[in-house]
Amino acid sequence: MTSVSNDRLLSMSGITKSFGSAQVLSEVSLELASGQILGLVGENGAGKSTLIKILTGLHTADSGSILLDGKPVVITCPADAEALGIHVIHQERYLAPQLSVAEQLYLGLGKLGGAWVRRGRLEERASADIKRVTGQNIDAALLVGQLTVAQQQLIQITRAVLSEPRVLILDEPTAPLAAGEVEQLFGTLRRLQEVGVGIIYISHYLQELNTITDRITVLRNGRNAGEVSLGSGDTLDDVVELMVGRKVVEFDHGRTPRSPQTEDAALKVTGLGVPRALNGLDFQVLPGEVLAVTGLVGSGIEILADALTGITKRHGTVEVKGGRVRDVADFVARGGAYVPSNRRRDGIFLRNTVAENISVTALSKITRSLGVIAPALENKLAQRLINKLDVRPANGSAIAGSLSGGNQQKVVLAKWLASDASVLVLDQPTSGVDVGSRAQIYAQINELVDGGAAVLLISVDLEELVGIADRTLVLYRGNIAAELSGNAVTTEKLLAIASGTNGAAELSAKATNPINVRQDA
Amino acid sequence: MTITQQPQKNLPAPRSETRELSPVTVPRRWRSLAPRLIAPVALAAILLGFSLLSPVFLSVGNLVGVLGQMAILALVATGLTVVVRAGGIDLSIGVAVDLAALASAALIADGYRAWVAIVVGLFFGLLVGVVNAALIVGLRIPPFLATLSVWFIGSSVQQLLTGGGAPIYLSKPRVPIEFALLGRGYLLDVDGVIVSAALVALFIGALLGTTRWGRSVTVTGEQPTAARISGLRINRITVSAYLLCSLVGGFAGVILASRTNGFVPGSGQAYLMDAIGAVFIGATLSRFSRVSVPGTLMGVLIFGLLSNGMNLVGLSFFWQGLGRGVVLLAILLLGVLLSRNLPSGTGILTRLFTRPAARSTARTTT
Ligand SMILES: Nc1ncnc2c1ncn2[C@@H]1O[C@H](COP(=O)(O)OP(=O)(O)OP(=O)(O)O)[C@@H](O)[C@H]1O
Ligand SMILES: [Mg+2]
Repeated sequence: MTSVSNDRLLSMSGITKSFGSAQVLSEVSLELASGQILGLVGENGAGKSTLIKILTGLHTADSGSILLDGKPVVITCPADAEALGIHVIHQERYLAPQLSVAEQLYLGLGKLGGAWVRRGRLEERASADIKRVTGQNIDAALLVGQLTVAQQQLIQITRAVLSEPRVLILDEPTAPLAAGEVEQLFGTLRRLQEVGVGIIYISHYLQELNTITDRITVLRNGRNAGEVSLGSGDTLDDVVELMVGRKVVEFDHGRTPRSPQTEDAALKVTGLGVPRALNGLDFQVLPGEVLAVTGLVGSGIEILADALTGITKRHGTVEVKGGRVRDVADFVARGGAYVPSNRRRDGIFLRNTVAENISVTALSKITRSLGVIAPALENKLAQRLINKLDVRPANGSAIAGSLSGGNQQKVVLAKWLASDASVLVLDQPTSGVDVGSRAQIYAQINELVDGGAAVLLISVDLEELVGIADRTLVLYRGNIAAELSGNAVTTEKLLAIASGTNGAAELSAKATNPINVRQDA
Repeated sequence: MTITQQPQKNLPAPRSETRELSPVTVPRRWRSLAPRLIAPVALAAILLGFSLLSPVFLSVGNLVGVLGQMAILALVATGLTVVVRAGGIDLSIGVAVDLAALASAALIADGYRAWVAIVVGLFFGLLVGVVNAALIVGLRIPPFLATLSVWFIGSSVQQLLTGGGAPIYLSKPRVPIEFALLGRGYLLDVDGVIVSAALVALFIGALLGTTRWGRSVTVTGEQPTAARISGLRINRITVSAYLLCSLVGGFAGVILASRTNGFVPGSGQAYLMDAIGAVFIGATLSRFSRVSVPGTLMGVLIFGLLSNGMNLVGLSFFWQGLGRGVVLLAILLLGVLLSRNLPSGTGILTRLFTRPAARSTARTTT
């Protein structure tokens, strides 16, 4: 087949789409050359995922055309897209929790071999493929449901690469990933780029775009806001301005660490342990401070929040404001709040309205006599928080599952603001949230902390840690490898310790009962 | 499939399996409305169809008669609605009906007062809920299997208690008037059981739809872990749902005993399948296949009118199961087809077969 022009691998033009009365995309166009990595950015709800879903046949555009190799194509279902070599890693991880890693990996790829598949051999090959693509060791016999969010993401990436795509689309692939894995991913993407794959890369981490892409398409309110070529003098600030329409200051870098008002810990953790993951952690968070915890995949940070709040079985004691916490209901009753990292499964009620999601932690406040919920109170409460966090659409009766990823995350935060919680455990709270909204969320957190709340921030976003944490714990193989306070924190230092290259290995070796977490540092 | 251009030959072939894993999305308003109209349309079709086939079908006398016959089914299905809304299922609700009927009939036969018979009957019904809750919340057995076991055990218990399945017949003069009124009384010319069923349905409907407890049950049924993380005590909520369900079942049982003047082993269990069908037909009325009391009542109405109509046109008993099955299948199938694009949490059906709520096993990394 003669290709018309290699410069135009894929072009979408005039794409318009509305859901009911809401116009989500109007006249959007996008150009991708082969061997190019194109950044696609925009605020939460700008329409990025929708554009991608149109390209992969999950939605049908109202109008507009898609050209592949200069020829028009009609894509009506995901199988059409895959047949054309368009492969996407969706923002929401649609994996089958009951499949094994190996099955998930080769499902539909036609690489299972003959009719009879030898389990052991398949798993060996799966592990090898994952290692090759992502650099991680993941046991291919595990069920997908048993993996952490980050590992599930790595499986998706591996699967996409194995399918030998012509166009690869990654919708916020790195949200759950730590710096080391992001590097690995970039390596993989560059290799794909060299063999001529066109890549569309959606991310709210603009720094990443700086590293991996040269051209960026910016969407704003469902329209093309502009194109930026980072190579030719444009900067990331220009991108932000195109996205948001103004300049955004995420962190006040000149700030001084807060000094907590009292010495009575709001959250006190003693000997927190989970077999094979956490090895008896001790730490406390005072009212009015942000304690951050970071580490790589496998360091134990994935399970820390679940263990601490009592979702997962654990040893050790957890006290909130002096009272011992046995389960998550205790934790919440004592003023705790938990924003989990797996938003779709644990954070948000997808099939309930936004208002119902927000009020679920504050049911006592909206209940009148006889336990009857007062809809007026509920709507008022929801509307106040929707406005405060700028959830879009600002409509309490919208179904939570129809919101964009970042807006869903804001709803999860809103529900804890509704409960007036004062001890917050935030696991990747800004995952999938755009720059502007991120700044808003940080402002919220700061406001709460200044008002005396204690925040435990679990995050792999090092910028974020440096930006708002007062103290930072770095986990390495289930132990606390280092505690850095305030000004001592730099991104480089955190990364070095988290990956065990900065004396952390010795620190953990000294631990009395080294645990067995397989991990590549 | 409509691909106009196939740019390369050596591309991976499309696989249908991948489609099942692909995201589901919210369709436009009108598309989400279509599946919700299936049950009302089916009801209208049944009304229309049988009124053409049988002249008496649409008469007031016949329709009121149907309501009276459906009252017990409506009660059973309403109880079941509570449990399904909480993300479970109760296959043993027929056992609650039977044990309650057995206990109250036996006590009346032995000359006890009406209120004793009623209270003990309700208690027997509740007992089934206690066992279910213990198995499901305490021992973490999936609801489907737990209540299936209780169903088997309950059937056996009835046989044993009645000396091998011998029915109990009450001689009319010996039945206290209060007990007789429960199932055979009239309130302003309306069959009393219709009033009872309506009151219970109204109460449970309000409980589920407007109260804090109902909201907690709903979100627990939707996403148990998310409910836990939100601070809800999902174990208590689940227990309360099973207890309420079997209590309503017990009430249906007492009414059954009064209405039939005795107890025939297994007669309550006969309601189970129709009740399940009605509940899931009702779920098609909701935007998110959420079961609700009004929906369930619509399902009951569909089944009731269908049976009645089939009787009137003289369809033999052997054909009636087929009729009901076909209607149920058609409604559910259409529901699935038309709502294919709705966002799915974990579907109601999948959850029935999996372990309840708690993620007690650590999601450790290896
Ligand atoms: N199925 C749907 N029904 C109704 N509205 C929808 C649907 N899907 C998306 N929307 C709306 O379309 C808009 C764009 O959503 P989209 O998911 O494309 O945003 P996004 O740019 O990917 O945002 P994010 O960065 O938060 O992921 C949002 O306002 C969202 O609420
Ligand atoms: Mg998106």
